[in-house]
Parts: sequence; structure tokens; C-alpha cells
Amino acid sequence: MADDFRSLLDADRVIHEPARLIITAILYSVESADFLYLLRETGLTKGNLSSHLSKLEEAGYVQIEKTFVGKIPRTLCRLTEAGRAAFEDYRARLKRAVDSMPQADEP
Amino acid sequence: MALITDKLETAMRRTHRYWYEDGLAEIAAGILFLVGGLIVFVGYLLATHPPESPLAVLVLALGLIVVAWGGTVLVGRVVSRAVTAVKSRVTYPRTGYVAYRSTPAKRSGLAGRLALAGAAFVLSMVLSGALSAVAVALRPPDWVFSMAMVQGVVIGIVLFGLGRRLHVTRFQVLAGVSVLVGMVIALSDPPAVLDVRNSIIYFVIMGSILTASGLITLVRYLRQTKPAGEV
Repeated sequence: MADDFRSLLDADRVIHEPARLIITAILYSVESADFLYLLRETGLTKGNLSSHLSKLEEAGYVQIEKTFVGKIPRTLCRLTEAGRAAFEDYRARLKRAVDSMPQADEP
Repeated sequence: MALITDKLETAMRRTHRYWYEDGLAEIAAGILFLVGGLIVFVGYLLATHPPESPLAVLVLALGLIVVAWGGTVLVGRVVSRAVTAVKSRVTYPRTGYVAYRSTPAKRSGLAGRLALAGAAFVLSMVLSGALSAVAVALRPPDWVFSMAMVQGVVIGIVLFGLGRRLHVTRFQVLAGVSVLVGMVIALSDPPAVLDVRNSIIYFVIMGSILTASGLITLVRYLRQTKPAGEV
């Protein structure tokens, strides 16, 4: 059990931040999502979301593409292969740590 | 920590559920059901008022199969494009755009989908044969294995599975409605096991219910959301 918990210490700090974790979880489920969808689902402010997406982009986990739909701008975000691998690794570590936790009434 | 994993799973599940949030998928399914009922009705007319010439019967039957298959594919594509177009104008400006990952079926192209359709057809024939064998062995009342009842149960199972996977309660309710509709039709006019009329009635009623459910969901969605440009 101790090893499973300790593995969380080595978890990717970029993904570990709760807002970025939710962003990568959402993007992991889809091919791509736009800024408006992420804004609505995460409940973050525009500035906050932009900041987190920039950090994920700097880490090479998210690819951001600015396009137009007619005359309306659309910012599309998608997880890179590195981002997918990083999320899967983090999720596996988290699951191991949670599964190794004793129940409340166990010693 | 368990709460974090729950939040992750919820976020991912909500993303899968998003496609159904505006009710357009139900409206599309309702339209397809109504078209399906129309195709079965045309087949029923052919069966009950056949031309005198056997050759004409054969040609019309083959033609009906081709038209039914081609019509279903064509209507499916038209409806699919219409849904995408309406989402582009209504849904995406309000609550955002999502592109879903391709499934193996979509990546396989037309040939793959035809193979899938063929496999589904064979499976449905095998299931029908198995059901008939069960019917003979168990000797239940005729209405249990009427087409409307079987359709109601099969569609109900599909809707329930979808609703359970996505945690969409209204799909689970529609599943119950499907079974109920099939049962009411089967009981109200106890038919021969392969009575196509009740199948047509099931398609029309269930198609109307799905369309109405989709419209109610769409109206609720439009009231609860605004285009992103508005405050």
C-alpha cells in the first residue's frame, strides 16, 4: 500500500493540478473540444482556462488550433499523444492509490 | 481521493452525454422510426394486394428490398447531416463544440458498415428463429411474441442500455415506454405472431413519442442556454 501512495509523489505535476486534470479528462474522452465547451464544463473563468490551457500546451499535452466557422472564431483544443499517455499514467496511479486505501472501519 | 476519481468519471461521462443534451438525436431517431413504419407499410400493401403475375411480385419484392435498404441509408444520411447542420447553428454557439473520436465502425467506411448491417440482419434472423422455437416450446399466449411486443422489448433494451451507460434518465423512461407501447398494441389486437400491421403501429407511435421527447428536450435546452455572445 505504501508504494501505491508514494507513486503519487512522482505524479505529473502539470496534470495533477485539479483544473488541468478535469481539462485533460474531458479532452481524453473526445477528438477535440472548443474553448466554449471547456469553459462551460470546467466552470473556470476565461482567463483561468486560458492560463491552464497555455500550461498544458507548453508541456506538449494539448494542441490548440484557432479556426473560423464562417466569420465566428473557434479555438479548438485536442490532447496530443503525449497528453493521452500522461493522463493514462496519472489515472492509473490514482486508481492504484485509491484501491489500496483501507475502508473506514478497517485498521 | 475517491472523490477526485468520481469527478473525473463524471466529467468524462458528461462529455459523452453532451451529444444528446439538445434532443436532436431523439428527433432524428423518431423520424427514422416513422420512415421505417412507412417502408413496412408499403411492404404490407404489396403483400396484401399482390399483382397477379408472379414475375411482377418478384420484381416488386426485390425492388422494395432495394428501396427499403437504399431509402434507409439515404434518409439516415440526410437526417445525420440535418442534425449536424442544426447543431452548428443552435447548439455549438450556445454550449460549445465537441468532435467525438471515431469508432472502429465509422473508420471502416461504407464496406465496413455494410458488413455490420449484414451481420446485424443475420443476427436478427437467428434471434427471430430462436424466439419462434421458444414460442413453440413454451406455448405462451400469442401476444407475447407478436412483432410489436418483440420490437418494444428490443428497442427498450437498447434505450435502457444507452440510458444506463450515459446516466440519462429519460432514455430509461423511454425504454419502459417502448415495452409498454409494444405490450398495449399486442394486447389490444391479439394478432397472429407475424402480424405486420401491429409492427407498423408500433413504429408510428414510438416514432412520434421519440420526436415529441426530443422536441421537449430541445425547448428546455433553448430556454436554459443562450448563445455565447449574449450575457
